[in-house]
Amino acid sequence: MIEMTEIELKEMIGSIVDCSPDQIRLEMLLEDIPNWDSLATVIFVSELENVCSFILSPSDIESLKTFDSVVKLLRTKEAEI
Amino acid sequence: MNSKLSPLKGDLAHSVENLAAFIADPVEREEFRGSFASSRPGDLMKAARRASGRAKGRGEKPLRLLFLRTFTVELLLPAIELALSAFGREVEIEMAPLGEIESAMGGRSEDPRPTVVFWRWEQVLGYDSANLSAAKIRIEDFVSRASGGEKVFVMNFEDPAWAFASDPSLKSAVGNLNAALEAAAGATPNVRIIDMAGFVTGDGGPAYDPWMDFRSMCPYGVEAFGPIALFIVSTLRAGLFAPKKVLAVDLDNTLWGGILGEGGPEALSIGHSYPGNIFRRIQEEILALKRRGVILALVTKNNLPDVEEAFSLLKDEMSLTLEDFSAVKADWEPKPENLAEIAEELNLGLESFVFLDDSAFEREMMRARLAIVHLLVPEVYDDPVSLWVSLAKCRVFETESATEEDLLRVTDYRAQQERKRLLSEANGVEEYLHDLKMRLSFEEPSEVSMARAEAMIHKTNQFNLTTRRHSRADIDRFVQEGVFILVRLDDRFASQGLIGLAIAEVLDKEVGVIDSFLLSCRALGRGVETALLAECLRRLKEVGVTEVRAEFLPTAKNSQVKEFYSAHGFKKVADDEKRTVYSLSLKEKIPQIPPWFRLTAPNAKTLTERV
Repeated sequence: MIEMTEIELKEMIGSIVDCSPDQIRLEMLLEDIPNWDSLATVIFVSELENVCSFILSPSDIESLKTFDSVVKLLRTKEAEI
Repeated sequence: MNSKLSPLKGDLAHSVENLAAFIADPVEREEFRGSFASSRPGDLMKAARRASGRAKGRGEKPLRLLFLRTFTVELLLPAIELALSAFGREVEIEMAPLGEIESAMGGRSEDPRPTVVFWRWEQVLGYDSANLSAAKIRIEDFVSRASGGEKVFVMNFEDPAWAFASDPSLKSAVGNLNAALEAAAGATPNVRIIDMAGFVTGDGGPAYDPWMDFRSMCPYGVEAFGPIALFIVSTLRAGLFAPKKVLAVDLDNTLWGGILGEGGPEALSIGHSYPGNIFRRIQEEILALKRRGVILALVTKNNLPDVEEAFSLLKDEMSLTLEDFSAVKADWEPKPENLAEIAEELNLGLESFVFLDDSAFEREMMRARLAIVHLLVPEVYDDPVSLWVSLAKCRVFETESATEEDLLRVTDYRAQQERKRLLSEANGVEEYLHDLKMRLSFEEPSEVSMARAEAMIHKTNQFNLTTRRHSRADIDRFVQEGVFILVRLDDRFASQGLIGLAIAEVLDKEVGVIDSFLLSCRALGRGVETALLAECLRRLKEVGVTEVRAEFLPTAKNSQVKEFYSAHGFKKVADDEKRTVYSLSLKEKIPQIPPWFRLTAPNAKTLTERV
């Protein structure tokens, strides 16, 4: 499993929705990120799974509300493996 | 499996090359190649945005497509747009509402444009093979709605390998659906299949991703987005854009194993046993391309008499003969120079050329000197099997179907050499033109000739006064309501088939307008253009037109016809950067068909007869 830093996560999101990683703050709702939509969610989850080599459950995906929640989920997954 | 070749990696590389071949700018071509190196959608999206920005800057007419779908295609869009960027035009894709494929197909005539249909067997068949009969009827009905107008590209159905292993009848039912789709499409000229079934079982490998399917209603995993997009767009390319026309090949270690100049013909490997069978296979592949209308050129560093002797001695082992090549350069000149000369002899642009050579040195020299020529590059260095794969996997010559005209073109380029000989022997150009014993005919539109007319309208760039890319529906309207002339040319050496057309309309009783006027470059220099113009003016005069207006719309490629109307007595009445407008009074002397032509068929019906 590859561990991702917050900066790498922001860069991943930024490349999907075409925004600067600097625009993404920890407490920010994902839906408030510029250009974020349901397709961005699907691609983000899929990229995250491919890079980190895990599968997110429906409840994991449901929990992804803010950028902070993404980081927390990632750290939980890293601890599980 | 051969560890030297990674099928997925290799196939992706070939797919990228098949589209990169159409990018003229070497820097952009390299960037295009690099864009698909990453399978991450974010990277593809970024590259697609960059390519789109570049295309917008060019200001060319956008490529407009309509997508009909029964699943979420949006996820594939960046990769598809990126793949389409190879054609250098801005892309505008409209998505019909999800699932509404029948009604959207029915309504597409309101805004005609090429259409792509994405659907899945599950949604046509349900999960029960007992529905097969109804599903086949739905497919046939759907394809009949697609008939006529712009091209429609329809995905076939992938093998249901993932699901329902307990019901083998589903596999056979999906096979039946594909057979029904193929039969219906085969009977519908504007419908073409995107062979997804072949892609996922062959080149593409497994693309299905159940997680993605449940989460987003898109059956493909993100890693498959790039390869699938490249595959789909390669199919669109064959239906929408001109293919490459010429394959220039090396000889030693390309068409046979070994070096002719070192060991003579006896030392060469060619035939049915290893390793000669690899080279024979390469020759068979090349011969098949020639049968489909690709022009062959031989470019080798050898003495011509030695080459002729080897072809003669080895004829029983070889598939190709020297006569299969429209041009042969066997000398010690640099190959880029020889290729440039061949392009001039054949009167074709170097962007139409593909170069196959086992030597990395020769390929690199070609890349450095003539970057516009497309190179076939084997995956493995110094390996003839890889050389064959690079040829077999290349789809750059792919066209909808080889027409009679494509095949005539191949023989005509050979006849061109004979014409040159005649010219050198004649006393002046006019005597030469008489000696050619040229026969012209102005043809009635038929299903076959209209297909050729459509191809000329969409592909002719150089001798084209207005470069208007009319849709088939527009062309049909001109045939019904205007003057529409197709010209056929034969001479003592070869038939050249349909080589030009003119379209004109009558604005009011006395004013005619030439909408389109174009000619194949093969026919230039013989006065056919004057003959075609004379016939067009004659027909307009016949219906009472007294003044004809015509335009020259400049493009990057048609500067050679800038003075065409002036040279034929038209007067310039308006002129700016975008167009020059001309006028000619038919009450005065008008151009006539040059005396060296013999008209061999009755002229087409006149406008008054049709009305």
